[in-house]
Amino acid sequence: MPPDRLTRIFHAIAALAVVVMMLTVVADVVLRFVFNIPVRGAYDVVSFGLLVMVFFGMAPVVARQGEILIDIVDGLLPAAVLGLLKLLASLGTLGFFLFLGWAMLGPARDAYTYGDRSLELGIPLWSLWAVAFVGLAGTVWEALRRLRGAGRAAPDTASAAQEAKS
Amino acid sequence: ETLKVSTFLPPNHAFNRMLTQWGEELAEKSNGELTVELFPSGQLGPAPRQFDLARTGAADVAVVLSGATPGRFPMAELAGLPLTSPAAGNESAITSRRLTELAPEYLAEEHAGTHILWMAVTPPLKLHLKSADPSDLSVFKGLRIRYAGAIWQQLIEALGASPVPVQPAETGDALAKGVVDGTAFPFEATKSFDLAPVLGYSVEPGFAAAAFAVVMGDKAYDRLTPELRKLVEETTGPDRAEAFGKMLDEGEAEGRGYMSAGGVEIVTLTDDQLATLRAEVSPIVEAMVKGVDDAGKPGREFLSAYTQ
Amino acid sequence: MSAFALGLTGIGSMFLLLFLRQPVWLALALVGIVGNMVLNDVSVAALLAGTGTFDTASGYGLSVIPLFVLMGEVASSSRMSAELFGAARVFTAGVRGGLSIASIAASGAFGAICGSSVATAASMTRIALPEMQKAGYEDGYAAASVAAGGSLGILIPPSIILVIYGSIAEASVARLFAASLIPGIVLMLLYVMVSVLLAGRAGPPPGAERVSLAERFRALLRPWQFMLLFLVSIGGIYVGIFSPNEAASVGAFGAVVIGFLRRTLSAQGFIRAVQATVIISCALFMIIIGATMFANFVVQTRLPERLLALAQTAELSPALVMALIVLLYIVMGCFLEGIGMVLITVPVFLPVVTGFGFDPIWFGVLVAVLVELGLITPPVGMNLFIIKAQSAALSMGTLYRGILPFLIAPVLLVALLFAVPQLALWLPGVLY
Ligand code: NA
Ligand code: NA
Repeated sequence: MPPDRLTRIFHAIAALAVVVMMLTVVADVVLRFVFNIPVRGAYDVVSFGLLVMVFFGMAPVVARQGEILIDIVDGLLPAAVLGLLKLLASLGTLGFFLFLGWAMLGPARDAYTYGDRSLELGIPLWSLWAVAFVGLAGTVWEALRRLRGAGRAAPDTASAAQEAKS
Repeated sequence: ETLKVSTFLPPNHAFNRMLTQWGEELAEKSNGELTVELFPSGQLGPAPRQFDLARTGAADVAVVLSGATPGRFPMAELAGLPLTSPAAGNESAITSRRLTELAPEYLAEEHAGTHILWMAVTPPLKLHLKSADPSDLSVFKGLRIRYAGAIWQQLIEALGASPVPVQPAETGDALAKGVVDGTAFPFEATKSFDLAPVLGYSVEPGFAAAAFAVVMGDKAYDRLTPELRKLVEETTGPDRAEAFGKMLDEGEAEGRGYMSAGGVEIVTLTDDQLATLRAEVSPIVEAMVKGVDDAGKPGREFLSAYTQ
Repeated sequence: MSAFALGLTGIGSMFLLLFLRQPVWLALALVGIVGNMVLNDVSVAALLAGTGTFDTASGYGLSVIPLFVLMGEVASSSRMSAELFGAARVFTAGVRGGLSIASIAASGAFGAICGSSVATAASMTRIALPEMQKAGYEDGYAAASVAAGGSLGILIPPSIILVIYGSIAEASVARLFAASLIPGIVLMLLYVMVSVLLAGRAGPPPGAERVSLAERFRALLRPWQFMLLFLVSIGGIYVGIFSPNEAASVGAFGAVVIGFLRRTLSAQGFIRAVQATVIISCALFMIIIGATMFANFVVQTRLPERLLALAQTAELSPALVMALIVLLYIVMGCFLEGIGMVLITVPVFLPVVTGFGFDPIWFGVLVAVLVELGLITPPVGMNLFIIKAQSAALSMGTLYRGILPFLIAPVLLVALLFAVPQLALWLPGVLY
């Protein structure tokens, strides 16, 4: 299944987050060594960068089936059974992310009602939960797409490294 | 009946020792009907989640660091304000008892969904410096000091130094390599991280403390029979808080002894210096209290009851 | 069902799901959630899943993982791993089994800037495996050299496993990195020894190429930009000017700058490296998230405590308990993925181990070696899968047979760590 536009956008956002994390820390180091100015907020920016990377990066991982799995049964079982197992994985993935979305509602609501804030910059945490939900929605969409594909039994057995490295 | 007790603190921490002791007491007094299963080291969740664990029933009892979730426990956090303690003294046995006594009236609301078993206030954290002699407070200008929590961040800035966040376990190395010039820590922690070799000076008195709540979730409480509930109530409250505070005070005294023995000079601030400091931190205190009052909570009233 | 039985059932179902080729993260997460539902109720399972995921994804402590992955990816994109292999290859020219030795040495060197074994193995597979196959090396021997060498990625610092261990044990990551350097080098030498012993049977006779000693050493200096990167970033941790997070960021940034300056890295190559970093890191984070849920469930069943209590009621000596712990890690390593293993076991075993008077830093190194062993033990060995995934013609059986003799090396290192704890503790003692 070629990546759809949503996957590409999410992948780009996650990649941007990694670059922002790297540059923030480098800027912090440079300012500290050269000008002896500590950057206030580097800690928060890195944590938020990570959050964006994880929640937006899961959609491309799900879309390309880039998850690490153990495929020793592949040579032993008939193709029909393998197809069934893949369907099971896609179903499980979708089920998990739907459950996660529901499970995150409570704590997100709490973060909003209690006015939780980040430690360094005092950013309201509900905004981060909102970002996480956007990433999660994309992941659910990809899980749905994959389920539809698995129903048609795509013979694609790519695993994490191969995909990531290709 | 087994109570699942959760803390985010390392296995040998005083809280875990006290909760184990409490569990043994419960088992004995209930003839084994009520026991405690301890989950330390954040096995069930990190520090900021402990309260939610108890409130939702994922744990039955949890130890909550009030400052770990800024804004959730605004009243309890006031007990950790700089240079703020009951008139009777700033030993943990006194402060913990007082805060526990005030809990039903002032703190129950912000801990809704749980029963407060007891509150604890640590001995105030001290400032420690690697090589600068703090007899003159102006040496703090330009220094880099390791901190944790918003109050310490402001406090260090008020001294003219830069606050730097460093993980507790990395602090010793950060001091040795000059990444930071000092740190805020209780003596007990300087001992457990063995910091005497890399520190030259400690400043007394301590400035700001941390407040904790030991809470039992409503679900767990409702599950208990009336007799067991009574037992829980009898074995917690101000007396338990005082006993626990004593434990912390002893640890602190031990840590202080370790520091002196390790050649660290303990500098006591003069009354003049303290007065200057008080003046410098009063805007911080004022802003925090006003923030609570503005939110429609009796912050000032609570603070005057606490410092009485 | 008792909590104990439930715990065993949970672990059994997790293995079953793994063998039914369900993604590792999914198997861990599903068992964790369902187990929590049975043990508590749905709302508790939901709370732990919802907050656990958010907290893991926004935790500063783990942010070092994508940064070290990025450093490795950029270095690999700008051909540094290829140059390392090239240099090692010249150095071992004319030696029987030279390419196998070269791939182990190059993996060890690459491991010095890359925090993940999987990434190290993946990078080296593409470079070294085809060369060995072309030269007539036995398939199993060639693949096993890459798998074993790649596993050095998490022992030779930087190491993602040690970062995770440090966050659980509240131990200094800088110290852990210092402690694991010498054991990492020792393990590399042990792997080389195994490779030399096997070379007579499994390696083709060396070619007639003649390389002078001077040329060999000159070849070693050729990947200088790589050494610079190592000195500045990882050296910066040892000297104490960088935190691990800063070292990773500066290292990744430095790799980009070097790559652009030498024109070995194009803008396209950089973008691809960042995108690969996202996929690898997120696949790892999904496992960490799943493993957190699974660990959370297993911890509540008190399974590890009960096993430990059994050992204690049997009044076993500390030495025997330690031997049992090591054995348990080895057995678990055959079936489990490393991060999950660390999350489940360290909180339980660490107090016992330190109670016996062992140093937590030393134990961290021991755990890293055992996890590393787990990466290459059949049937579930991540490094083996990574290699299999990139070479379709290779059968899993060949790979399993090929790796067996290499397993002796980490086992020997474990024994050495017990006999000479200074192997791990000397360097941090000097540096800090
Ligand atoms: Na490494
Ligand atoms: Na294995």
